[in-house]
Amino acid sequence: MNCKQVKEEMVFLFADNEMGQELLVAFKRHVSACPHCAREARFTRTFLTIVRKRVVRQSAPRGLRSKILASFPHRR
Amino acid sequence: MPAETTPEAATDLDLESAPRLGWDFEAAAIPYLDGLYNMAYRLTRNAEDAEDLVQETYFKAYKHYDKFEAGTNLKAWLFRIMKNTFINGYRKKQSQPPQSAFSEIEGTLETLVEAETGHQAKNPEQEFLAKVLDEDVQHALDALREDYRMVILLVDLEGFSYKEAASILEVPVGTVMSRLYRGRRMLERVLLEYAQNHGYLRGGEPNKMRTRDAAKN
Repeated sequence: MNCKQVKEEMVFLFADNEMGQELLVAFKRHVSACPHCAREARFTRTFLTIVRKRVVRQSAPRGLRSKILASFPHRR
Repeated sequence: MPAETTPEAATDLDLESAPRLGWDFEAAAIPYLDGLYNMAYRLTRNAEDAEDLVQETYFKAYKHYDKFEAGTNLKAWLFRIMKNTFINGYRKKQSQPPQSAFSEIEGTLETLVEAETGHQAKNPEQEFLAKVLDEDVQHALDALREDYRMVILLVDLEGFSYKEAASILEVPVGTVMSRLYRGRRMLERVLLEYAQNHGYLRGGEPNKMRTRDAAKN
């Protein structure tokens, strides 16, 4: 595993919990020896947390649920 | 709303013989209403179209519920129906966001990622992350290319796995990954630019900041 792979792919796999055990071990070995990549991984995780938290979720408008329910044939 | 989504059109369903299926569908599918609406809103970027898109999605899902394989992922199935409904009917109506800034970004992306060493800023990325605003993130996300935006919405906002996102978008997992990573890098770049334009960050060019070499901790 080299720094390019870590930066382009591994930091995301790691942040998304999409790493298999084997890959995770290799990744951890790399970042513990490479401060630059460790920083990259930390930044990516923080960045994604920010994106996930700061996008305001829109709840369905109040009337929508009953509109949908009323359209179901089994209710009529 | 297209005519086929009106309740009248639903009478061609064979639910007289299986009203039970209708109740099952309702109980299983309605809990995803907020998630589907949120996705619809981010895709159409307005409340009215979002509401129509959600209604049409539920209508189609209801109609084809007998084809849904019990025990598989209903949430992913509903989102796939929404994705197809959006692509086939709603996308044409969408006003296209300005793309120029993004093709430019895309062009510099590689150099950006390759950028290395030597800048003496003090931990600017933490500063940036702390100060970027909700509406900046929202705006940057809304302006992203649609295929990138869609996969970010599925993975980062709805919490789908890569595999689930691939089944919703009907593309290989590798495609999900490349769109996701490129999309996120663009988002990052755009947010850095916002941060600088708004004066949250002092000095430095974005691509120098991206090196993060002065970061400590």
